[in-house]
Amino acid sequence: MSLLGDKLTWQRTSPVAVVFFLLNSVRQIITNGLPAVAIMGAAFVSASDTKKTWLLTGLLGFALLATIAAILNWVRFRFCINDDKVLVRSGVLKREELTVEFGRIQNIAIREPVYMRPFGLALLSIDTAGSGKKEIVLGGIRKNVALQLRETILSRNKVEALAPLEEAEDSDDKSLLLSRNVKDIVIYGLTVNFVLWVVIAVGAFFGAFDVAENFFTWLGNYIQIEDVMVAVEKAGGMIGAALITILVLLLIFLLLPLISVTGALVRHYGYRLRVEGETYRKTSGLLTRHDESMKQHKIQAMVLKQNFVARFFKRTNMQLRIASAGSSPGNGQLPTGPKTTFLVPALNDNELTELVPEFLPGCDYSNVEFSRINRRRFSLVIIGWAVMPPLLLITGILSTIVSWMFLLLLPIGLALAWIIVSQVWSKSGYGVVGNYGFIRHGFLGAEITVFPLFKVQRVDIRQTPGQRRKKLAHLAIHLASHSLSISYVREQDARQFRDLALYHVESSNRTWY
Amino acid sequence: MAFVNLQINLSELPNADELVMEPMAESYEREVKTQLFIIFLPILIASVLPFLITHIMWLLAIPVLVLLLAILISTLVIRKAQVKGVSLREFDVAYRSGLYWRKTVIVAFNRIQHVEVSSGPLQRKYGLASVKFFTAGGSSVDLKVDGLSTERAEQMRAFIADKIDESIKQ
Repeated sequence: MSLLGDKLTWQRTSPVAVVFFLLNSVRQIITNGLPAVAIMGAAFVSASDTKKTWLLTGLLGFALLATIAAILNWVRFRFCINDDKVLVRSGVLKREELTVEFGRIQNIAIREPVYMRPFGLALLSIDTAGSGKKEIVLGGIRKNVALQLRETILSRNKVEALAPLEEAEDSDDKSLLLSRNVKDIVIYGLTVNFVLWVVIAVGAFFGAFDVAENFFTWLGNYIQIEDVMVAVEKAGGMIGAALITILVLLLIFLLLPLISVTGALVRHYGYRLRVEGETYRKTSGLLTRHDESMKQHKIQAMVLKQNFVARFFKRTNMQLRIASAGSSPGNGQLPTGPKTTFLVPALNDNELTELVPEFLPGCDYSNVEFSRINRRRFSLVIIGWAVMPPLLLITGILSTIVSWMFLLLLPIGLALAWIIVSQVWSKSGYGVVGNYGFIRHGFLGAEITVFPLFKVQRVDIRQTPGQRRKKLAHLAIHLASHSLSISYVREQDARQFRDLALYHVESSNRTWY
Repeated sequence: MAFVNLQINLSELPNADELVMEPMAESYEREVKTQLFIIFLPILIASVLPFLITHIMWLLAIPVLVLLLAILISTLVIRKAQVKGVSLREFDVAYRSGLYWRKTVIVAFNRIQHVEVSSGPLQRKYGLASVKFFTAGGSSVDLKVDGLSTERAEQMRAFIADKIDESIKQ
């Protein structure tokens, strides 16, 4: 747009972007302060009318402030597209200027949120590589500008330009790699975040007890649960009341997967994965259309996840990891943000065997033989150091204070620990097939990470004195996307794994990024 | 077996454990000792204070304990400084550290993004410098080598900068 030496032409996004900034701050408040919001909500419902008025006034004032902040944010947000870079100036109190060169860009996504569609606007997010860099989001630019911009950036990256969105929509085109129907997405929704449901359920009943209590008080006031309880108790005694309670808890627990499935449908409805040259592109979304592109050579690792729900459905969720941005040391961010993974959900075994070599050329996935870690040492160390001390302490205290019967907990606890440790041991493994490394972890399900050996960034081998004696080692492999590690590997294997990875890194003149 | 369908015979691979680690600069041990002295002296003085104020005999046990602990920690820290070693190979840099929990880190030159040489006031007094190697990706994916002489650090930086340039040209 501007020649060298010319003045840069700064642009603003459309005023609709105010909504975008507002939603962003609301989302941040909700995700960062969910317990606080929940407590506020509970407090609001149970508050008296005068208090309600105050709370409402406060809320309105807050909304007004947030709106003003969003408007200021929009006014301050300016961007500029140069021949080979994007510049962004933003920030109300703390002013920021970001420069991102086209060559550094890892991933470009175009989204069309519901509130932008009527205006023909879109949201372009640009993900960069390198330490300390942030993601750039241009919310509220014209859709054709967004498409054109993506084309320019991708062509700078030496890749053929992409077809416009509408053309690619053609259903019987050859570039279509995979599509997901509603059933697949529902299964994905059930399989994803299973641990999260448990955490939410446990958290609601134990951790954030105030929230749960307030919620139940509110529920009680609302449907006069006490009357129901009294009636039930009269009819069926304590057992009936307990049954009702269990039923209610069960209902709430069943609600969680429903939320998960709804979330999955909203995000991934109409999932289409296409390949255009070297670029993979997926489109999905019920309300907001997501259009994400990623180039094959940007893939740092492939993570195949199959938890026990997924195993029941015989499906695997695939994640393609690209170099993580903004994970500079010490900013406390998880190195695996949602933007640095490219999801391919709910694959059955046939689709899996077909797609693995598509993303990782020449990867002989079916031939992998996982070597296991040393069972004796692994179990002894975990049980001896992590399980025994607290177990002994608890049973000791309980048996001396309450009753000797609690000593029975010791064998039960040990047996349970043994089962869990054996399960974890049986899922830990490592292997190499051709040019690809494999690391497997798991408990009930399994998570396999596959990575091209030449993309390894750094290898560490660590040994405790005990491991040194037993000729075992801890192997850590650092990729640009995330780090992997496996313990109690045979020392010789760890070294060979490392030397092999280094051989690939050093003999290959392909770039990792 | 863990290794299937390889392009290269495993026994032909350069073995990273055969490499000879070069120990840190001689003055590094002195720097570490000075550091320990600076840390422990005030603590030791402070630990005598309760006795000096109250004159209760058994309070002397505190400085004795502190002294014993200081000696133990110092021995370990000094030993740790002695076992550190670094080695430059044709294509990578290896760094070994740790007394009991021994750790070997290897980074290939063509994965190094940039190199940083730094030296604090105490390091400068002993003619020492630290070299940090940054690779891409997640946190802690870099390598920091302490206790190199200033010349050696500069040499290392220049050597690796050259290697990075080379790999870019290819």
